Amino acid sequence: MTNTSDCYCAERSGTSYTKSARPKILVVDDDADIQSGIEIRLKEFDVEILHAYHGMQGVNLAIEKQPSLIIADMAMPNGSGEYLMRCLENQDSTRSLPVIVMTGMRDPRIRNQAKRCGAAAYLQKPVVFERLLDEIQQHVQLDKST
Amino acid sequence: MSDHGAIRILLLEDDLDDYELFVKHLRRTEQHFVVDHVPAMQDALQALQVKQYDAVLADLNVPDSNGHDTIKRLKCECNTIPIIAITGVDDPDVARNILSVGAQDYIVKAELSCRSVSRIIVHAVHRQRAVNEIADLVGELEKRENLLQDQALLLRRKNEKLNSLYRTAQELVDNVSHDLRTPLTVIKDFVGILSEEILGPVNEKQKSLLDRINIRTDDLAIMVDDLLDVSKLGAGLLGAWRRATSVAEVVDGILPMLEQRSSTRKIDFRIDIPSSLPKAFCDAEKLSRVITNLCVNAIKFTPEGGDVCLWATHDPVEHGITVGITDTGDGMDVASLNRIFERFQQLERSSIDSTKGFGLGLNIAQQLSRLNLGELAVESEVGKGSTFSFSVPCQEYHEVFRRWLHYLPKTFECVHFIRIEIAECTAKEIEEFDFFLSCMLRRDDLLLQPVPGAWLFALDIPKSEFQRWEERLSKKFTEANRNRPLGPLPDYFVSAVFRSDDTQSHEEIIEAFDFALQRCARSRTELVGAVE
Repeated sequence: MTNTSDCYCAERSGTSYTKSARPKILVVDDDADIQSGIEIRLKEFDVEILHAYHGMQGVNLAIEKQPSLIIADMAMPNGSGEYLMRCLENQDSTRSLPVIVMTGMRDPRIRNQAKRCGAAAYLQKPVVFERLLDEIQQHVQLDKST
Repeated sequence: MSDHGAIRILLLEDDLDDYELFVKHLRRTEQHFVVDHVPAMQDALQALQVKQYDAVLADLNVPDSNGHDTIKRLKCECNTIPIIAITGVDDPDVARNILSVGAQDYIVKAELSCRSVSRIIVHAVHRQRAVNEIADLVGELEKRENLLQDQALLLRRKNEKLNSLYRTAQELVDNVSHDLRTPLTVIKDFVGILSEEILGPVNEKQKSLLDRINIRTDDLAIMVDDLLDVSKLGAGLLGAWRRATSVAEVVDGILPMLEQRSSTRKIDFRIDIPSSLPKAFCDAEKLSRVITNLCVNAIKFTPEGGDVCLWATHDPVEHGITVGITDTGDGMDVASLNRIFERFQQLERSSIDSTKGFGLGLNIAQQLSRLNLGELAVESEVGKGSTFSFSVPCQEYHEVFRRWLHYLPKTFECVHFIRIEIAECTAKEIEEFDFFLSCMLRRDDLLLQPVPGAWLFALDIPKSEFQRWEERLSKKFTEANRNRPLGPLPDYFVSAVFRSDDTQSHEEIIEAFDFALQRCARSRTELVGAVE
């Protein structure tokens, strides 16, 4: 009994250790310029950025690469942000992945929808980068790149 | 009957003696009869084809036809003319038989007298005329009913088409809004990257131009929002999704944009919102748009070095919150103030006539304030500055409803309260169902959730529309349950709890609302209790 629980703890701490080594952030947005804006601003930190251009691709990459955090748009072709979050929720390996939603849609219902899908945060585009950074740092420890 | 009042008779009789007897009888009466005589069925049918008669007298047995068959054949030829049978025997069975195949009456030869013949014929003609009139009326009614049914079908089809167009238009406007804003977002983002010198140094002059680009991009974004709101308002597409909303949080969302704008104009922009301010019950997006428009206006019309203050206060008596923007601009004289208010009063006619000065921005601010159940007001003094303010209700449903009723058009149709409940309810299910119901909202609808899991819809629709509304709800429910990854929405119970009539005053309707509100909570306890 003791053994098993020790083993479990070790595994857990092991995972979080590799995460803090070099965090991976998956950005899911169909607009390449939005993607590169985020990437340019995050350059000063030691973080790996993964790109997906639609919800479906986002789901696949999330399962395959196990990022520390996802930043996702809501309105996208081929799998919306809602689709992405619902899919992640259905998978054991991705259920606890935090998702920050960034959208240009003004309808306040979208915010509610994002919340219901389990979004960790919701930001309205245009996003002030400091706010995005605050939200990221709630979930991921960012170190300055050397 | 002919124009001269004569009754035209076709007499089918093969016995000449009988024929002459008839004619003799008929001549003796006051009524004028014109008689055509035919000895055989064949002749009778031919005569009926070429001439108009008021009645047919037919001997049952003629050379080419026998018994009640004679009546049947005649009836086939002339359904609208009374047929009177002439029979030799006075037998009730025969009589019944004759009448059952369509004869109006019968005459027994042995009982012939001039008065009885005349009376029987005249009565038969009158009866038949009445029967014909009724048949005509019934025919007309049937025709109209068919027409009505056709029209109802046509209307239903048109309605379905309009509904689908309405959805398409709404989606289109939302998508256009999103598509127009996306490039603006990218421009703002990249300008920020440049001016923050992330990619390399920028000199002061370049930086100031980048700031201008940033502000002008915001201008464009606000203009896009304004234009889309105007078109949505004009088309009746803009509904309000009212919930408990923190004013401070809404302000927080637009603060960076407002701060940058005021700082480049060297204006002291202050926020004065007490932390104890209760939540407003409103559509957060519309609230944000009103505050944005009023602040941008204030910053624009305040000279460099001036102050702009965005403040909010709680009014416990009115169960509302007042949000105001006070500037130290030039202020306005009475004439300008009146002009602004004239504009507000002409909202329905408002068009995109001006995007300069006090144009679109204030108009939209006023209309969006009304969607949030509050009125825009302005106070101003030349040389001192202006204060634009508006109120929003707190989450106090009596007050919310009072305001909603106040803003309904004067000529409202019929206020309905509809209670909708779900039985089993985790917090998540309630959220999901609330979202589903919010998709039913149209411009003038009010949706409240007095207790978790029970909703009250206030609608202004014609009485006849309620059934259709219910159908729409159940159709949307089926649609929503199709392809839901989370499984179906919980089943709901719907009941119409109130319908206003023309004689009811606002106060009476509000009273009914308070009652419905109480009932909502009570019924909820019963429902959940029953399920448990």
